[in-house]
Amino acid sequence: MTVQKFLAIAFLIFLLGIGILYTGVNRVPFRNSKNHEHHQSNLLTGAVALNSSRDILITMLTSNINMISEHKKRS
Amino acid sequence: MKKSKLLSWIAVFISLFLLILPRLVPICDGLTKTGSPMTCHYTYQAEFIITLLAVIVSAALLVLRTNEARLLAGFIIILLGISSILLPQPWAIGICENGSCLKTTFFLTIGAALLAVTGAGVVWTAWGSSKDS
Repeated sequence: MTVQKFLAIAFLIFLLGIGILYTGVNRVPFRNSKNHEHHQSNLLTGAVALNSSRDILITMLTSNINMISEHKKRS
Repeated sequence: MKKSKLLSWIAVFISLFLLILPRLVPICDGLTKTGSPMTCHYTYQAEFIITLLAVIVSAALLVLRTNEARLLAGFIIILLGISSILLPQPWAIGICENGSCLKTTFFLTIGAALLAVTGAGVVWTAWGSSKDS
């Protein structure tokens, strides 16, 4: 390869590198930027699941109590 | 393989490693309260340009034939390696005090030191060859 050809390729690689730097491909994306989706913490997900299961349990218990009281009324 | 060619390939590989280092060992990806990037972001943007130049100069060692040109290229590689080490220093641009960029800087310092040593090796071989001829 001649030096002239190398210089032309090197200049193109330099321009490509500047383009990469501008677009931010050279680094990891910012965590709290506007375009980045915020992931929910596992702890929060667990808490939400726990709350929803507790609500379901309470609903089931109260409906059972109602059913029992209605059954008692009938008998 | 000749010693000078081996040193050239080593310099190319170290430069490429330094170029992709922030992808392999990520720096801080958070923003400050004002919404601007942290100091380490600017340091590693500057590091990218320096290592890009190091890649080009190292690759030039594979093309250059004369001892003077190889001597100059090796000398520039030494300077680029030293610059890479100096940029994360607090009196230059700096990095965060307690961030993941500390780990990146550790590997950067080792890589840049190896690059500077390789550049010194290129200068050494070119110097010896120019004295012989």
